[in-house]
Amino acid sequence: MEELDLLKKHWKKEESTFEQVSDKQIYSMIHKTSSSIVKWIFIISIIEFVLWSLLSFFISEGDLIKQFNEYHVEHIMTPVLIIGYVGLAYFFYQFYINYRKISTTDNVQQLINSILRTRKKVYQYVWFNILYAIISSIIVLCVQFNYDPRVIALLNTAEDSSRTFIVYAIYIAVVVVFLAIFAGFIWLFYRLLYGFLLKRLYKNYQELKKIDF
Amino acid sequence: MNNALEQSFVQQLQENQNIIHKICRLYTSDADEHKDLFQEITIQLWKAFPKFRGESKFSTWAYRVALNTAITLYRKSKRSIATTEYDTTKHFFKSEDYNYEEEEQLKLLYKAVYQLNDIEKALVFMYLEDKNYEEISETLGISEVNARVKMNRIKGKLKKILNP
Repeated sequence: MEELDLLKKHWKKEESTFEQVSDKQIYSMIHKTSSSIVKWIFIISIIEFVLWSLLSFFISEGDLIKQFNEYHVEHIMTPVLIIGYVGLAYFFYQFYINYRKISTTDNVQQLINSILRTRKKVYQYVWFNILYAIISSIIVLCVQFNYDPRVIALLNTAEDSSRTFIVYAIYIAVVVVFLAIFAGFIWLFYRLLYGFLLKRLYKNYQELKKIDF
Repeated sequence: MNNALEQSFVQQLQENQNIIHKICRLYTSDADEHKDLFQEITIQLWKAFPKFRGESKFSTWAYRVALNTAITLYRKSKRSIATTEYDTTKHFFKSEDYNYEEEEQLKLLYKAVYQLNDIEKALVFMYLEDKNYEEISETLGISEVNARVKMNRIKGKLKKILNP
């Protein structure tokens, strides 16, 4: 007899060994909250959207922007802010649509696909923000070089002593290092968080792909 | 959700709970984890229940949601890392049909099945439940031919584990 057939023979008898759950216990279970991966992904994603939006809000309300208002560079900063909000709206809509598509009655492959697709949208939103932070930093830098009286004064002094290049280099290097640390930190955080959360899901997804190559 | 729906769900689940117990048996390694997974599956079934139209049998619908939960949604708790296996065969044999050799082989078989990955366990589960390859391939989202090939490989893998 094949190994699995022996197991099959006993599998039927297995039913009598399970401790039966009463209707009261089932009632109480359905009122408990789920601890599924999807729920955690949903909660974490909402927190991400809120945090990134708050961050952009505080930046737009910060001293730097107030200072920028004095330079009258709205024609540059307004489109930058609009792109940020349009990005948030687009990604949140996509995330919501994909989340709604997650259904436990799909087949396993479809289900894993929808979960990963939902997650991917939030991931793309995070990279959008990092890219956005880099581009807006470059714009801010250009505006400061052209409009900030302190920076202009510093550049003039440097020009007098022929050290303009050094001032530019230091200024740009500080921004680049800051952005690199910022992006690196975010990348590491996501690797750890989602590496932990999605490891099993990816493993099963790969396994299905391997079977159905 | 209204009371009638709740009542209908609880009644059907109670009648079909052994399907869920069987999935828990394959995907968990101790009684606490079994309860955890059973609860998560129950919650997922309840969430999906309003969309259950009765086109298929409750049991067919339930085993699909239950398998999906075990494979993709369930987050194993920390304690499950320290795998303490329960004796899977202790209830199988009544004193009159006790067969030492068969019991030992069954224990080894269960141990071998536990070593399989989540997808392989799903195939084994459906095989044990006498599901045909059409249904197996539909449930997993793979082709029928590949489901057969994979099943044969699993049989080979189990043979290897049992006869190293």
